[in-house]
Formats: sequence, structure tokens, C-alpha cells
Amino acid sequence: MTDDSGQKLPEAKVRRGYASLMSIWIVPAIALAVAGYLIFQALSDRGSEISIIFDNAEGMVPGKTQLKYKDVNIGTLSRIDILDNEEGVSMVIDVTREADKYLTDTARFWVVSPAIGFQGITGLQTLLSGSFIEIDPGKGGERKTKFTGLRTAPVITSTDKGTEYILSTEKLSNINRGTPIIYKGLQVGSVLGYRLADDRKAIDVYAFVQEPYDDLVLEGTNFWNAGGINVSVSTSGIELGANSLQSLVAGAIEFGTRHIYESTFKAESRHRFKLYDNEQAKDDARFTEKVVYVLYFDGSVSGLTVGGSVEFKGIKVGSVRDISLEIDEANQKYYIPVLIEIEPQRIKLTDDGKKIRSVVERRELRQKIIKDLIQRGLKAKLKNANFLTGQLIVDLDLVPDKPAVYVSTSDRYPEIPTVPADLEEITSSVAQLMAKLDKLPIERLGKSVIGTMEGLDKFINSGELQTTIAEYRKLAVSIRVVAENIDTKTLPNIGKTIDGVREAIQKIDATLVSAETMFTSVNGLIADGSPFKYDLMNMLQELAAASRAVRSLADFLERNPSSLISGKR
Amino acid sequence: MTAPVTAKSIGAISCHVCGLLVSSGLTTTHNARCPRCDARLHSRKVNSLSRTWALLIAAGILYVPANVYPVLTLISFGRSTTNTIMGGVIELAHSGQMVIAIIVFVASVFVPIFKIAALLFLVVSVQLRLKVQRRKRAVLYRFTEFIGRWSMIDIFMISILIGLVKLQALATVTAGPGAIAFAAVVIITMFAAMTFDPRLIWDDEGDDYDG
Repeated sequence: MTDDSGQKLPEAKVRRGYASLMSIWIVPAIALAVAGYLIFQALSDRGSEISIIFDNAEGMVPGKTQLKYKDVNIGTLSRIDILDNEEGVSMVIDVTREADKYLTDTARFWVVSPAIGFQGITGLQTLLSGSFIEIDPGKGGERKTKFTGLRTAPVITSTDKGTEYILSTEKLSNINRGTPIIYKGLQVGSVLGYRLADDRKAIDVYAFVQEPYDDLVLEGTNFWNAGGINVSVSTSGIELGANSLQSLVAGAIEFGTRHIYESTFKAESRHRFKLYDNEQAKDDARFTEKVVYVLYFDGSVSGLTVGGSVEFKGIKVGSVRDISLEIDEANQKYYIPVLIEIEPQRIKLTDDGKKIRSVVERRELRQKIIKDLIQRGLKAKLKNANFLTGQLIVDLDLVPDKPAVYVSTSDRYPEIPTVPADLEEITSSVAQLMAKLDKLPIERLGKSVIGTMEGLDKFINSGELQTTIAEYRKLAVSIRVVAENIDTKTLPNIGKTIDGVREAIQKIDATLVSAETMFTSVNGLIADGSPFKYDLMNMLQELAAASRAVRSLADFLERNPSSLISGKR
Repeated sequence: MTAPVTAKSIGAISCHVCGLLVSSGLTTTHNARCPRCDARLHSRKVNSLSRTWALLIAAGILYVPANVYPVLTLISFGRSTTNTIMGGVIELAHSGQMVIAIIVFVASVFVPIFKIAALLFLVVSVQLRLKVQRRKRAVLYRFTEFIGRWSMIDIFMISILIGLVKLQALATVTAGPGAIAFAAVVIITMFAAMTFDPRLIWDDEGDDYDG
């Protein structure tokens, strides 16, 4: 066809080489492996789907809101369903495979969002990132996928170690979830919650004490409410105290063990304790033995309160239990029976350390002592404990010289005879006043007053006064003569002199006027708030500052003469 | 009209490098070399069809994770948003940026699919020895080779974003596994277009004239 056909084409060289070992089919195999791995990973990462029921879905965003455990992301909210009965919302969450083990029936869920409370500010990080759901996995339990979320974050999580106790109280007052439990001012736990006791007469408070402080809770330990302000009005005045600002607002529970109970066993979990209203109530509670007596007072008991103290020579031995009014219609009489509780345990026996007595013996002995005292003339009377508050207390004292009057209408309680509220205090203060009046030097005062009066009398009646007055009259007459002479003789001359003087005075006057204007203007210049004075002050301050600067410069130069050449470094 | 003369038809091989025509007598082995420039000699690209097939299958497999996995994770103000290619397109369209949405869609979704489909068609048509529309198939091949590089737009964008947006707490952008798979798809399809020998389209042209 062409001229090429005649030409001989060059032959190819043959050289030994390697046949291509790599097959191109490795590429799709690798691709398959990679894709397969990715798909496997995706499938294996897909843990389980759980649903948590909450009251509402505040701050929840499907696809964004995360489930966290110890701030590690272990799942994402995939969708929110509204429950059929409209009692809440169900959060459907994809949980990663690693977190699958946490999904047991002891797990608890709650929403973390920013909150400001008495315990501080929490969840601040969620301001930027949005709310998230937190899980407390709990310990073991059966696998579960449907949960109900907590309304608020739990006070303790399953990783907090410690012991839970039940405190029984009659009234909850300011105790709340999270109320701190204090030991010697240190927070060692908190209140988990409370509920009405089974008998519906008391409230059970669930208190949690952290390790290692739960070793301090013994069977003989007392718990008391340390919150709020303690106002105690006593014979010594008004006492006002609070533990800390936090306990003032949020309340607090304190506990302690009295010395004699320190050898008791460590209290077990869920041991039941009584929660005293305050520290005083806790202290009083150790006097378990109480003997009731009745007192009848004639006068008014206004100022005497239930719980008021009963003292014997100033030492508290009991308290007032009840005050009531009884009217005896038949005899047209009224009585005011005041029941008092005497706590004999407050009384120590002198030979307590020497003789060994049983508890029963001791009790009987103490009661016998009180009976003996009544026979020896123990009487009760109302005593004003505090003039400021008008508070009355019952004062017991031995008054053997006054007859014991028993007015008891029943023999339910033994009676201690009373004596009328004594006027001793009033009489003593009157006596004091009299003593002060006594000391005044009334006699001497009277004497000197009389002396003065006598002197005056002598002076007036002596006749000297009359002479003096006559002399004065004469003097006046002669003065008038002199004046008349002057009038006629020397006056014209004096008139001239006076004219010259007047001129001089007029000149002085003018000078004075101009001086006055000058002073006024100067005064205006330097008066407070005047611009001149302000400028002057400013200038002085500037001058002072300048002189300081110069002084410091001089100091600096003195210390670093080289800086003149090298500059200030 | 007679069949056109080709190197193959006269028993010769044209060297790919220096263009020297060499007798194909000794070139049955794979180790034949050009006597002038020492380049490897072969009449057509070696194993062109099976290589193209292999690369196309690999691209097809990787196309799945490229679209399922997120290509981009944006963490701003503690919130992380992940986006797949299609998710990004939809988000762009929703936010009213239709032009950009269309560009991204064409470059990242349409072009890879088109390339894989076009090459698949070419390979199959060669294997079935289809005799029709040879010229149009050649145009299709040239077009496929041309548009291949444009689908790397997404990868370039992500690379630039990762480099630029490093504000730590405020905003951070990281590439997802989808981005790597997608880059692999684009590169592998480019290789597939390279390994395909367009001369195969014309190889049995002589038969037409004979028959």
C-alpha cells in the first residue's frame, strides 16, 4: 500500500524482567477491606437504644444533646417522643457499645442544666454547650432499656462511699434535700431526702455520711438541727448564734458523740437516730429521768412559759411542763396549777464516786432527797429572770420559816408549796437609793446657805448702804456742775478740735471703706469653691508632685549614676 | 473502502515513548523493549480492561462510605455538627444558597457517579464488541478524563477549612472518614480513566469493512 511495506522494521530487544507480580485486583480488595472495616465499625459502635422518661424536654435537642458519664460522652439523643398518656416525654438515646454495661436497673438519669442554689452554682459549662443528660450507673443489676429520669441531680452518686442513716424528727423545719451534715464545722455528708414515717407521726430524714467520717457515727451519737439562727433568751440575756451563712440559709444537721458514749459500736447502715431540734434539746435529752411536781401560785403567772427553767439557788434542775387554769365552782375559787419536771439526774451526789449504787438505787435516792428537801421547807416562788423581757422562772429555795400551804385539789402529782413572789428585789433597790441619799452632805449645804443669807441681811440692815447712796447723790450733783462749766467755756475750742478730728476720721473712714472692698474681693478670691482657690490648690499639688518627681529622680541618679549615660533601664 | 492501516494490522508496535515502529514478532513476551529508547513495548495498554474493571469496582465500593460517613465535623462553642456530603448539600439548599448547593452537588455527587457509570459503559461496550457509535464513545471517554479532576473541589475545600479554622474553643473543623473515602473514590476513578485504552474502541473496526 505504501512505501513502508518494503522496509524492514527494527526488532525489539528482549530483556529479562519481572513479570508484574502485583495484580490490579488488589486495589478493589483493599477498597472492600476498608469499606468493610468502616461498616463493621459503624455497626459495632452502634450500641443499644434506650428511652428515658422526663417531665419535659427543656433544653433537649435531638442529634445534639449528649448522654454523659463523668463528663465522657457515651451517647446522643436521637429523638424525643411525647408519651401517649401525655405525662411526659420519652428521650430516645443511642448509647455507645462501651457504655452498654451501665444500662442496668440501678442506673439513674438526670438532666444537667445551669442552676444557682444555696449550695453554689452548678452546671455552668452547660450555658455554652447546652444541657446534657447525665447517668449514674449504679452497681450491677439487670439489663434495662426503659428508664425514668430524676427531676433533679441526686445528692450522691454510686461512686460516693459512705453510710446512710435515718433521722427521725417531729418537724422538718428547714431540712431539705442536700442540707449539709456537719461534724465540728466540717461538712461530711448531706441529706438525701425525707419522707413521712410509716406511722405518719414523724418524718424520716435520710442522711448520708461520707467515708471515712461515717466511722464517727456511733450508736450513742446525737444528731441535731444546727441550721437557722439560734436565739436563746435566758437569765443571762439574749444569745444569738448561727453556724455559718450557708447553714443559716439552707439549714444544717450537726452530730457529735458525748464523751461517755465514745466506746459504743459504730452505727450500722440505716440505723435510726432521733434528730433533736437544736443543740440545747440534745443536751437536755440526756436527763431521761423526770419527776413531776405541781405548784399553785396565787398571783399572776404572766411571763412564765412552758419550757421555762426551774432553778434551785440559780442552778437549773428542771423545766416547766404545763400551765393551766382550774376553777372550783362550788367554792368560787380558781387555781393555777403549774406542772414542773425536776430532772434528778442534774443533781450530783457527794459520795457518788465512793459508793457503788445501781441505777435503780440511785434514782430512788435522788427522789428521796427531793422529798426530804420539801419537808425541810423547800418552797417555790416566781422570780423575774430578765427585767427586759419580763420572763419569769420558778425558783426553788429553802424557806423553813414560812408555813407550807398545800392547796392541791388532787393527789395526782406531789405538791411543792409556794410563797408569793418576793419583794426582796424592790426593797433592796429602795435601800440602795436611801443609802445614796444618806451620803449626800445635806447638813453642810444647809449651813452654808444659812451663812450666806445672814451676811446679806447684815449688809442690808447695817446703815452703810444708806450712806453710800447719799454719797453717790452728791457726786452726781458735782458732775453736773462740771459739765455745765465745760459747756460754756471750753466747748467752742473743743468744737474746732472736733472739726479737725472729724476730718481725720472721715479720711480714715474712706481708707477703711477701700480696705473693706479690698478684703471682700480677696475673700471672694480665696473663698471655698472659687476658681482662683481651685487653681491655686491645683498649682500647689502640681508643684508638690513635681518636687517629688525631682526628688525621686535625684535618688535614682544617686544610686545609678551610670544611667546618665546608659539611660534608665 | 478498506479498513485503515494500524500498527497492529501490519504486525508492528509503536513505541509509546519515542514513536518508533517495531516489528511485533518478538513482542509476545512482556519483556520486549524499544531498541531505540529502551521503553517497554506493548501494542495496547496491558490488561487495560481488567485493570479498569478492578479500579471501577474499588471506586464503587468506596463510594458507599464516602456518602454515608461525615466528611466534616465542625465544633463551635462546644457543639459539634457533623455533615455528610449530601447532608451538606441539603443544608446549603435550605439556607438559600442554591448556587453553591448546585455546585457542590455537581462536583461531589454527580461527577463521581457519572464517571463510574461512563467508564463502566465504555468497558462493557468494548467487551461486548459493540460496533455502533464509536466516535461518540470516544468523545465520552475524553469528557470523562477531563471532568475527573473537578470532583476534588470538596476535598480542597475541607483541607482549606481545616487549615484556617483553628480557633480551639470557639470553632474547630476536622475531616471525617467520609472525606478520605471520597478522596480515594476520586483518585481511583482518575486512575481507572487512565488505564482504559481508548484504542480498544476502534480495534475491531476492520471487521466492519471485511464483513
